[in-house]
Amino acid sequence: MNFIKRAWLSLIAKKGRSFLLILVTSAIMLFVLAGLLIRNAADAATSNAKKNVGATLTLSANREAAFKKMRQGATGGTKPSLSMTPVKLSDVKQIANLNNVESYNLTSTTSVNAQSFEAISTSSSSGQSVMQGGGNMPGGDDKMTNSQGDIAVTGVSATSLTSNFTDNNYQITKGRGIKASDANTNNIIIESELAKQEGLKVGDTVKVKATSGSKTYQLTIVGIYKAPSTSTSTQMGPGATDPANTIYSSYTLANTIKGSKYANTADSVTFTVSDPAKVNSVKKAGKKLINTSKYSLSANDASYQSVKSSMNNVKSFADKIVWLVAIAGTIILALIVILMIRERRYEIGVLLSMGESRMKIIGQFFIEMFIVLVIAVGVAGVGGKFVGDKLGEQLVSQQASSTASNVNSQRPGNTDSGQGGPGGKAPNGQPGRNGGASFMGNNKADKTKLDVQVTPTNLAELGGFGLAIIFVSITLASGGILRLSPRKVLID
Amino acid sequence: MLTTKNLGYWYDRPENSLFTDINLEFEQGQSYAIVGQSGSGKTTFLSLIAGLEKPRVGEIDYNGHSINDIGLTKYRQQNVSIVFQSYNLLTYMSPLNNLLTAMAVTKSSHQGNQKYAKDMLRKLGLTDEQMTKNVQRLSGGQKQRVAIARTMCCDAKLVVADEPTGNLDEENTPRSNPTLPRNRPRTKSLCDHCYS
Repeated sequence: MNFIKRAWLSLIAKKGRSFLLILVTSAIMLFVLAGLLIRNAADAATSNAKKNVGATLTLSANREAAFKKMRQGATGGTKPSLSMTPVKLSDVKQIANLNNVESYNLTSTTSVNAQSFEAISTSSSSGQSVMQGGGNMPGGDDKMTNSQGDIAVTGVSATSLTSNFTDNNYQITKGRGIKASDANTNNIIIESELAKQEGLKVGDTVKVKATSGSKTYQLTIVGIYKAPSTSTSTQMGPGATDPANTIYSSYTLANTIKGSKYANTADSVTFTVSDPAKVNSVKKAGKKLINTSKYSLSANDASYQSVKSSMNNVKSFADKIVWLVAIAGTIILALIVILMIRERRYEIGVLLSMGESRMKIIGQFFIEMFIVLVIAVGVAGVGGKFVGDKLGEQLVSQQASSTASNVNSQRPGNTDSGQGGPGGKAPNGQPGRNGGASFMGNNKADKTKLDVQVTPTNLAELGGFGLAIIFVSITLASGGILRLSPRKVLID
Repeated sequence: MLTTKNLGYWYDRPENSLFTDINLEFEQGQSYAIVGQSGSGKTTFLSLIAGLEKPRVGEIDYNGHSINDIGLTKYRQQNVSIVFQSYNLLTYMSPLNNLLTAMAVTKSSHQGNQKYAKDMLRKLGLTDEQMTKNVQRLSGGQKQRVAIARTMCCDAKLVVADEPTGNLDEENTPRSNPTLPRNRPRTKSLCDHCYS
């Protein structure tokens, strides 16, 4: 009868002890596996975030340089005017050809006055009428309000590339979104509240009038979208700033409305970089292609960084769980094994007196614990996914809320709505530049989920970990006894 | 075969020696009895010659080689078989498995031979049912017989028995004693309180 069979006999003969050992080892393995799973899932989530959240570069007019020029141009009594240079499509194409630039979205915004329909009226809670279709802004200067229409036109390359739609803040409910093929057409999509108020549906046409001059445009509704029912304070601004009064079109239509000098231009362009880690190198290469005194190229990998940081925190926490459970597990198992081996001093003495080698005695204990470990790993494999899922959900939701509060505290007032406020003298009555895609994907960051999956590799990793634990435990436990002479072991 | 040279042993201090200067020679095929009062060191002496412990002073030679040089584990495994007063059986096993374990550990020529082990147990009065149930369910006398059978299953040249029949009744004592010599020329060293 060799030491392996002895180990088996010992486990079978002492069923109660074996059951308790399996129970304790399973509990330890379960937590170690949960930690390993969360750590691996956090790794996978970080690399997925790279693909899904991505990072963007925004090419737009250099506002800082424009303001500087405006101040320099100011003389005596004349009021200085801010002149912003729209982005040229030729520059955009050059940047788009750079490595790692996946896609780009042109944005051109303007405003018009509704003609064949009425814009949604927005009132403040005090009952003061803020905007009635096409009317003057209260308290504003005439020059500004005259150039501000009641309908905001956001021209884009495609709505599927626009942050509000990619984030699912806005959803197409009827018809379709704006596509690249809508370039040079008068196709638009309107908000569902506006459609409901005016009884408009897909296929209908509406007329709008330019804010300067008397030119009217007949637009075809190809889709209806739904903006979120909750709005931030800035979204609930007057007229065109209300999400319901925003229509999306191709950027070419917005440019046409703005005037012929805006042909082949855009207010801003958002480039999606395939690998967020490369965003800075793309930015550097892009800057060489543009006139930086007129344009600015800003990187935005905040979403990626946010997800990365969030997942790193989860991973670091999972690492701590693994280590903590491993250390606590080793201590608990070592104590149990020490007690078990002390209880078996007599058996050790008998075997030693017969001339059994110390290595084989240790081997017997090791085999016993190995059998226990195999069963425990099986139990952990079954329960690990459940525990990992629950623990992972908790960790991610905590991380998401802390990340969201950090992001919010870092960007007061940023609405990510695709429209700016009415302030400032934006050229040709543009309702101001939006944040574009500056925080595109933050929702994705918040919604990152850990995909906890138990794989054979995880189980092998866990088994390795368990083997290390039982090796240390048995060595610590049996070392003291096996140093003694057989007689001492038998007498004591 | 076995020689002790100036053997001495103490537990706490040398001045409280249990015994000193023991010079004995044990010849192959002979039986020896070590008799003495309780606490006189009989079991300790047997432990030393069985290689369960190292002497404080002196030396033990087996076939002209110091048992320390042979290695105590190897010496016990290949040359000595012990019958303990307290049986020292593996409690989670049956009598049969105890014998099979001892045969495997000592690399007996009958290693793995269940029939041989069973015959030995039968010879010592254990039934087939008794030899397959847990040893803890046996009486003291039956355990003692299992311990004796275990010794006899191994090929050791030296059998050391510490009060081997202390737990046996009168009927079973003679059954054990003829088993111990068997046919092989073994050296037996027995230790007891009385001369019976």
